[in-house]
Amino acid sequence: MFTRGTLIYIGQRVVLIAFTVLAVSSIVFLGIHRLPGDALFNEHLHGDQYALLLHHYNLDKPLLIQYRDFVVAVVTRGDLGESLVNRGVKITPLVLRELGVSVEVGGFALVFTIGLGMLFGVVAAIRQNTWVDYVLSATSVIGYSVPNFVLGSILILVFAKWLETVTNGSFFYVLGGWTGGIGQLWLPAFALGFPYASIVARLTRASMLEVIRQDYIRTARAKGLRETVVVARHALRNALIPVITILGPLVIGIITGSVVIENLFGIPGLGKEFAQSIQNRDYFIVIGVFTMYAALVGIANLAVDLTYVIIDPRIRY
Amino acid sequence: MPTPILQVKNLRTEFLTDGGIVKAVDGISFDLYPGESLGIVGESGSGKSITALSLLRLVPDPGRIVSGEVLFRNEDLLQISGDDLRQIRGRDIAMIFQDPQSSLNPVLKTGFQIDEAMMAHGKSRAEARVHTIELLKKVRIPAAESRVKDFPHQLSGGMRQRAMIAMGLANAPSILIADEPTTALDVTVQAQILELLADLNRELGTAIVMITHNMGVVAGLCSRVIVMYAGQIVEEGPVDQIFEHPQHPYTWSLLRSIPRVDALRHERLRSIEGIAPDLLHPPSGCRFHPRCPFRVEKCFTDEPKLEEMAPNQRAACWVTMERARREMGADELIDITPGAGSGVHPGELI
Amino acid sequence: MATAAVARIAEVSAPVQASLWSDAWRRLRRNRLALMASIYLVLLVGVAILAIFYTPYRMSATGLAPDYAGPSLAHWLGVDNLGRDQLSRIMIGSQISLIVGVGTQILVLAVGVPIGLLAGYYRGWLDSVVTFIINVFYGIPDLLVALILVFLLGPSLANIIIAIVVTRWMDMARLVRGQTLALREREFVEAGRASGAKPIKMLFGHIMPNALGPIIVQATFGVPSAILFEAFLSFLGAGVQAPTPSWGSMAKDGVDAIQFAPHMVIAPSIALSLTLMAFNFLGDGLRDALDPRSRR
Repeated sequence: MFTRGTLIYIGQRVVLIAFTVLAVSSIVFLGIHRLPGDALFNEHLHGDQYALLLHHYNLDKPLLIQYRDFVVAVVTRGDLGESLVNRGVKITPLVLRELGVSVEVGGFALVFTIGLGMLFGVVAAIRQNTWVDYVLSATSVIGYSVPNFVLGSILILVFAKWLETVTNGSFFYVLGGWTGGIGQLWLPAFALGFPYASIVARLTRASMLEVIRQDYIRTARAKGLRETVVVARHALRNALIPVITILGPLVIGIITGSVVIENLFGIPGLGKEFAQSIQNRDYFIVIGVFTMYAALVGIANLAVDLTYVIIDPRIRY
Repeated sequence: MPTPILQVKNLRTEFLTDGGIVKAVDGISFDLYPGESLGIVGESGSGKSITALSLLRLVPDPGRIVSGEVLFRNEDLLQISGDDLRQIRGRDIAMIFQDPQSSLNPVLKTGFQIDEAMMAHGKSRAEARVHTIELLKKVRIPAAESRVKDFPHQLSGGMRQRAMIAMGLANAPSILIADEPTTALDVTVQAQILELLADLNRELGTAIVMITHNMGVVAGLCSRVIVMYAGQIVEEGPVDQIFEHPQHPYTWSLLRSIPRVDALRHERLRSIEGIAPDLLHPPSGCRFHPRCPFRVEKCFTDEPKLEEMAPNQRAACWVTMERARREMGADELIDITPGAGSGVHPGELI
Repeated sequence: MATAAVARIAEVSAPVQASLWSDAWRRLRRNRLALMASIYLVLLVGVAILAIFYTPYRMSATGLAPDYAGPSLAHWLGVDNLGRDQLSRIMIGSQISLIVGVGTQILVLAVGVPIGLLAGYYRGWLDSVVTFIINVFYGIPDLLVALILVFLLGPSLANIIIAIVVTRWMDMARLVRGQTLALREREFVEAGRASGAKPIKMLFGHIMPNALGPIIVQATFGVPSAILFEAFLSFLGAGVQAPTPSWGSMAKDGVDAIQFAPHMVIAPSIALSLTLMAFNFLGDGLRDALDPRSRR
């Protein structure tokens, strides 16, 4: 499975990711660096205090020097700098922590998306043209048409307001708290994942319908295998292949959606930080968050491409 | 006469299409004896594949087995429960298919797929694996121990088909149904596979039902043959007899259409005139009559039944080749044109 | 005589062209979901046009009823946190959504189609550059880029449209490029080239019409995608600014007040969901109608 060719491929991709991350953060750095004065500006500082702060953040040096120092700091120490607004707060540990939160919520959402999506898709395919199929198909279109914050608000209404089973708004996240985590996380994860689960369901259904007609399914039945085994072992793995194709855009979609969902539920993740720091004009954090996102997307895409190798033995790099 | 191991009685399988009901298999009856190799021959659309699939109830949608009996060890396979049928599939009656590329699951290892055939009927994974390697050797796949771990796409066409045969024989079935196993292969590989099947038939005593459109395959492998046309049996009997003295004009035409190495160079290739019958609206009377060179009036209106024409040989025809030879100059025909027999003079080129 | 023959040949060959589209049209008409979706969308456009001339109240008029008041005879959808009439704001919001949805797609077509055609047809350095850009931006979440763009340029309808187009043209370009690559190998292209047709005519007269099917489908699906995007942006505060109502910002206000005034979030949510659903069903219908091979 992991042949020499594959390992070389992984190596190439990692280099590419590093390059892309650097390129992206450079673009953002240079792009918005004409405005950083705003954050400090907003505090109406004058004279020496202002000059002192500028010096502290290297903002009094020429742009190219700043850029060079930035790149060196990132590459050698992984140091993304310091927050403009909250002085003394180092960015790297901050975004790493928030990255963990976002990954946890996003991860849940992804598991949910693929698990529920494939389940619905398989059931709809097996019970093609029955009421089960029609209900599931209709639900799936509705699923990806309803914006995730709408779904989220409805869930909040139902569960937080009327049933009072979950707290919202004052989301107190405990890193590493497993059971408590699920109790709080399932609501945003559901809102985040459901639209994509619908897409996965549709795709799985279509894929399953095709796979079931294949000759090798007939062979499996001719061997005397039980129908559940035929579906689970023979059909499913092949039906999975087209789903993996959309996994890349799916993960990016979840990342995009998480920005909104985190803001809605008040989850202290990258998305919330991103929106907040843009509003606060805290550009160093913006750069830091963007860098994290670029790395995350690169790694996610690589993971998807590797999943291909695991599922479909005909693919080798 | 030993008792048949399989008795098919009046099998009818239909397909419900938008255009109407297609009677793919319309009243087939035949027997299979232990250890014999029976060929079922016919062109595309004759119903031979569907007959084979019907035996194990593997007919795909929108097909339905409408009536008939398939008796195996005193049980009607068409009536037994799903669980009982699954016991028989792959263990007592096995089936292998035409295109080994598409008939093997691309994402599972070849060895595993053969193991599966045994695991489904009680063996453990370990036992199965030992047996699988033996089987692969028996079907003459070199380096069997490493081949078990290969995926189907890593094997050549011939090896894939051998693997399928190994899968079919895994549980030493009494009957192996082979649906055009050589059609998708090169000619040279075809010969090897047929030889293999013949050897296995001799050694293991497995009865083989060979579905094919190729008379040459039948000649090489089978002892008895059934000729199908438009969903019905038109002739059946021992291979030697049929090849030398075919009674049904269709059989005769099929045999004639095989290109011969010793034919004169200027002789045209002989084909059967007309096109395959429309199974939605089959021809009236004898289904072959639109394309038959020897038809008479009765053929248009009355459907002939199978009758014994010679010892063990039956055909369904009002005219029969005997009469065609005596009265219609059949042997002198260079070309076959429907109805030409009624006015042809010996030696005349058409 | 020659002209008569040519005319007859033209007659015979013309219907083949027409029947491809009429065939698709017939199939589309049979799709009930797509039909219902189209009816809804026509009504929506009607409301948007109506809102230019008339809304029950002015959209920015505040204090019309006690803040957060629920639906009543005077205000069918209630009022929001500043006492503004929800119904009027929803009506104006439909304009925003339609302008963003359709406007972005028109621009995406205008930018993406030519670039895709040129890249796919001429290949060479142009294609390499285009492919490179597409691949680099493939991995970057568009919402993030759009957020940054909007904050750089300042939130306004025009800037939002620009931000969406900048992040989305690449999908269309990639689709068109792929289609062009496939089509340029076909015989009729060679025939056209052999008869000396100018490349522009080849591109726009021959290749593009044949690629039109997937292009239309992609654009149709692009509309709800853009509307959703705008809703996301508004929800995050980067959308059109108050007092101009967008369904997304109305939803945000609604979420803030969800504890005590649930009606505020329901109206824009339903409006968004129905509109998105309608475009999606329409897109489905178009895709099934234009590609005879894809069946449910």
